[in-house]
Amino acid sequence: MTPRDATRRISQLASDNRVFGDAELTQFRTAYESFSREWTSLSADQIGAVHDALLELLYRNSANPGNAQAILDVIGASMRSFSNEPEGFRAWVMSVATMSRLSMERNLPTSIDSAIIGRLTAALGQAASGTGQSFDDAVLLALNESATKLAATSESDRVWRVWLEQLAAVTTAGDDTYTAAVLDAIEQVMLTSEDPSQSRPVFQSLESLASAIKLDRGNQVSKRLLDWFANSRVTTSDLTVVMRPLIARSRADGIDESLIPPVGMGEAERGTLRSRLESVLLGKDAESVEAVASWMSIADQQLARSQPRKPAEIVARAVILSRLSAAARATLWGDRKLAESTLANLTGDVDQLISNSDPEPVDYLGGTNADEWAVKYIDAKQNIPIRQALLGELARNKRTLGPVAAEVIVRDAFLGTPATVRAQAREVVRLYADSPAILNGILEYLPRIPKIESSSELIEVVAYTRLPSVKSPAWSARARQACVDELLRRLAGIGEGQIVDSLANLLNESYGIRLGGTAASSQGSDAIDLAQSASELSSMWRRLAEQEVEEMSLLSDLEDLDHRSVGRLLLAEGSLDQFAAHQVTAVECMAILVIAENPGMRDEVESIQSELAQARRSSKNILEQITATETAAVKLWRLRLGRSVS
Amino acid sequence: MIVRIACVALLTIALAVNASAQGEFERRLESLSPTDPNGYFVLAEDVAGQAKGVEDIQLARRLYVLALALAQRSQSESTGEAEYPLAASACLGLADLESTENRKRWLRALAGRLDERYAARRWDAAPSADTPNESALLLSEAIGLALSGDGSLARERFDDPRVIALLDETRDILDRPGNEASTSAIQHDAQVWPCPECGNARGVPDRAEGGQVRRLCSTCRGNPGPVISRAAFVAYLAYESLLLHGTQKSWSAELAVGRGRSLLDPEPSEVAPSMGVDPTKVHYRDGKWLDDRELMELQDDPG
Repeated sequence: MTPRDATRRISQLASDNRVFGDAELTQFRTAYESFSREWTSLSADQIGAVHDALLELLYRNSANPGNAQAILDVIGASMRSFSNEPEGFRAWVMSVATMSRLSMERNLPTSIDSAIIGRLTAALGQAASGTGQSFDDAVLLALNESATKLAATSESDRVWRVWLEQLAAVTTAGDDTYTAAVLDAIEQVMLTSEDPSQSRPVFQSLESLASAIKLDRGNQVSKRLLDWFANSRVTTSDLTVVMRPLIARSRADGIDESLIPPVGMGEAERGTLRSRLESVLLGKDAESVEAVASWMSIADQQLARSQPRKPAEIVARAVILSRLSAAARATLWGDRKLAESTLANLTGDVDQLISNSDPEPVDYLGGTNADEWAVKYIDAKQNIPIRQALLGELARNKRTLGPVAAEVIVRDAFLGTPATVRAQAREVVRLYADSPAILNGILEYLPRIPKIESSSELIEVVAYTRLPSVKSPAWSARARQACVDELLRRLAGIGEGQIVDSLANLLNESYGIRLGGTAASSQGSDAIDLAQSASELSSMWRRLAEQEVEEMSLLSDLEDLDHRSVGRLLLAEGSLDQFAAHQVTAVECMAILVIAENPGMRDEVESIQSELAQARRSSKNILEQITATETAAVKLWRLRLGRSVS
Repeated sequence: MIVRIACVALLTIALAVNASAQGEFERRLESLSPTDPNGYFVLAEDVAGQAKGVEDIQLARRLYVLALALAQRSQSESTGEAEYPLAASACLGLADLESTENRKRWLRALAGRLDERYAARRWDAAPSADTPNESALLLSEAIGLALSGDGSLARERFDDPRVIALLDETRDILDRPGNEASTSAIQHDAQVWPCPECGNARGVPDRAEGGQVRRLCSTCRGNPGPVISRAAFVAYLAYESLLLHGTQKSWSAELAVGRGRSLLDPEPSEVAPSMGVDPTKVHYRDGKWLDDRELMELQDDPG
């Protein structure tokens, strides 16, 4: 059956007043399958007519739930699993878009509406909340979702050409919507598929996709291309494969093959090429020299500042220096906006944190807060209604608790009678989980509480932990360890401790920028995330150095560095040590890279390394070591940027 | 009188023996040669074995450092393998002279790097190294119970010989000059509590109201246990965390548990500078350490 015949058949079935029985269902199934597998050969009007017919069928059969579900089953059959065969792929997209179109109808019975939403959610997951749109928008959504699936499995360009065909059916090739969808798909393939140098299907897919769009001065393709240059997860091979067809098809002046990245392009070269591209595509003058000079001037000012002594001030200095490294990277890669904004916000928030130091709190566990409440509760003794009323009061109006109130609540949460009071006290403990007084109360009662699941569960909530089974011999120690560590975190993080922790978060954010904004760990907020960010930065520099190094002596240096790094990590106790160990390895890798890029700078680099070794040796504590290492990183960037404009 | 004479005689003999030993060391020091790193090592061991004071320890340390440096130099100049064990042994000798645990670990790690026989393996670690043992848990509970005013429960735990042994072994972590928190303070608190007025009931009958209602105990203010500063409380929590092999999630907590010390690099080249020893000064003459040039100048000096 041709698609056109199929549309006619579906319309006939909808206008036929006969009962919709098995024979009609079979005819409908055959027609719908034919329609959905070849829908791109139909016009928008023809597709619209089919959707109207489907709605008519559903309304006519709304009193017969079995029929309505059968109709939906036919429409949704192709949605059950994603297909990468051309016809199956088209059918999947059409079914998703049709279901979305149907979900716009407000007058369908609830059972039918729920069935539609259920099928959409099963096919699209969270993206289903974006449905209830027009057919065209629903096709775009389905194509966007399918791009993720196709990219993840490194599909061949045959499937991608079907993808492009469906995109062209609901947009106009070359318009903004079309181009944006193709750019998103290219990005998905570059970030999640295999490298095109290792996979022919991926190579061909990128070529096909890039051939579907046009590179022009100032258009969205040129802007996205520049973003890709600045993204360390997009490889040189990705850029080369994508740029060839873009350059070949472009008619704009100045866009030629010399802009295609060469094989084995290093990081510095990539930054230079990006700057050239920016100049050609966006008409910006080569502002590299001014950008570097601006960075140098600010870096020199910061390097000349005297060494701080207090822990918070030392960490503040490390944050500022790390931000300088982040700005340097952005400058090298030609991301001027990021470089300028990082430099503009170099010290403001840090200085504010340092100057906002609160006096040492006397009532670090809440002092006499809620003491009046506590007296009433103690006075109530075994009176259940009064105790329940008082617990209810705390639940309704959250307030700061002191240790007296906290401890009587915790006692009843674990040991109170009757069970109703105990349950209510537990709820109050959950509500006040962030109170240090409550956590301290749990710690105090821990040796006496019953080792049962409900006790374990409550401790997990308050101490933000997972505990082993209460039957495990390790439970008592683990529960105490979790409570001690969490209470220590809260109480150490007061006053100067709070400033140090806030600064550590800022340090983690700047590490995220130095990683090209790709580190999930830099979104985290604890010391373990920060150590992980440093580890990722160290791996990144190691990779870059390895790509660049050819000389035997430098290869040998890299090997020695690997041994040294392992040794440091073996000595590292805790996440602060681990951060410092990875941090210094990162800087040492960077030093090797700078020498590999510029052998003439060996003496200067070795001088920086020697200064760093001396500074680390003479540091009084690990925070001074961390700052000394960030200082060395900035000095190496200074060399690298100085070379980049020479 | 005879006793006095005997004492003087013994003292004289001891001084003579000492002087003889010192003279022997001086002679051996002057006969050291940089072509024989082992000589430095053996002398270091002997000095360390008979060390009586800080100067002896410093001398032993210098000799071990020079043995290490010369063994490294000799290794790089020849293809002989014999120097690695010597360098590693020198590191272990230095570790024995150190008083702080992190420097000991550093030197042992360095020994392991130089000679695989000394490298710690993952399977060397006790299987339950990550799970605190019962003594650690009991000691941690004892501290917590003392701080919460549950003196009798705390004393029960402090009476356990394992707990006291662990407390003695680890007291340096808590007992620091200027610290309000200390092992003696916590043991004292265990003796003083529960509250002498309310027995830890927190409330007492309010006599002003005829005893019909309760008020907070005026001795413990409803919160049994010693009143301590945040710094002291943090110090106790940090101690408990170390006993329980805790994991810190913030830098402030890491600093609180004492992980603010410098991280040392397990590099042979770091040993001499960190010990304040100049590895070029390998010749001992007339009470001074000289490098090659200074030795030549001394030998050429007719005076």
